[in-house]
Amino acid sequence: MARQTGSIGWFLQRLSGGLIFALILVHFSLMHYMGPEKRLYADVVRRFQNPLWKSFDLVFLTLCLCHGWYGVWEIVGDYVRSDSLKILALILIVIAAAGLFSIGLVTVLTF
Amino acid sequence: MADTLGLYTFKIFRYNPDKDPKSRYDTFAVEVRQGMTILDCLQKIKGSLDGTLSFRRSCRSAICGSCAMNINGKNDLACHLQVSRLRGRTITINPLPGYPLIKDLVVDMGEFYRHIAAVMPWLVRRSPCPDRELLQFPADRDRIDSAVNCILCGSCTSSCPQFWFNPRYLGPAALLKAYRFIFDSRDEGRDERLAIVDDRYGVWRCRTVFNCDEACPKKLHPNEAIAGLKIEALKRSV
Repeated sequence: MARQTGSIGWFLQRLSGGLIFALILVHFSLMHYMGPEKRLYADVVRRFQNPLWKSFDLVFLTLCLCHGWYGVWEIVGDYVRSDSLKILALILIVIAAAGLFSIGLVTVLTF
Repeated sequence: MADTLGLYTFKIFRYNPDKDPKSRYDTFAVEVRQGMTILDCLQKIKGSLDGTLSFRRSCRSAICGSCAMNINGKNDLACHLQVSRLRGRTITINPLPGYPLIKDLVVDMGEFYRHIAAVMPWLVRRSPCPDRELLQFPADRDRIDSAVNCILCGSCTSSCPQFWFNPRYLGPAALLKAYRFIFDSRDEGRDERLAIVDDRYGVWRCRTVFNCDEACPKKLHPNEAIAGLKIEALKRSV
């Protein structure tokens, strides 16, 4: 088994951070500078029906959750010394991430 | 006298566990002349006001790193910092943060030195040594130039919040030392040393706070060295 050094996690955080930055530019442009002046429910539904936008939002959601919660896990690693508390924190992080992913998944796939 | 700067108040951290488990601050008024350093003032206090004051000093030339302390909230060398460079008439002096206290401004740097020793701060040679000195190209020397100038004062490691909470973390000084040898073209212990720093308590514990760069009295850049080590360690992992 490979030694757990933190290098892969560090690299993935940088990679996901760069991708999130690129995707967020698209997201902001789309939400604030493009499309109709007054966005209606029907406009959102139309966009979500496009498989490309569905994929975009799913990738965005996955990257943000992975990046954010891995960051929280790193903070736990910095400040929590007790192994049992670390395990508890990991369980809470996984539950929270899975819960938020489910909500996002339902939102994107409903349309 | 024309070269006098006037009267300064020195508020100095005092702690002597043999007499009182609680720490306190003592204040001393010192007449400061132009060109006097913090160390000169401390010597004056110890020599004529309170002989029980403890602090480390040796070379008085900003080379040995012994007199590193926290002056007005910033880690610096007492022998290097002139009083005239500080604002205000009250100067607060604390021991270096993050290390266990021994007495007054003297801290226990055992852990710091253990971390330095852990990264093998010596040139590793496996091939036979030549009869003359090992030469290197100027460009190779430039690569490690700033790292060579570290005087091991401990200011950087002491300013690192990661070290405050995780004393197992190697810290910027040890990592800078590792960088100095890993990137030395004459060294042959690169993989061994990289294996030491490529650890959860090695380079990956650094959060790029930049306190180390700010604290270094020799204006070195441990943070840049750590970034270089991270890239090397990553190349080794993938």
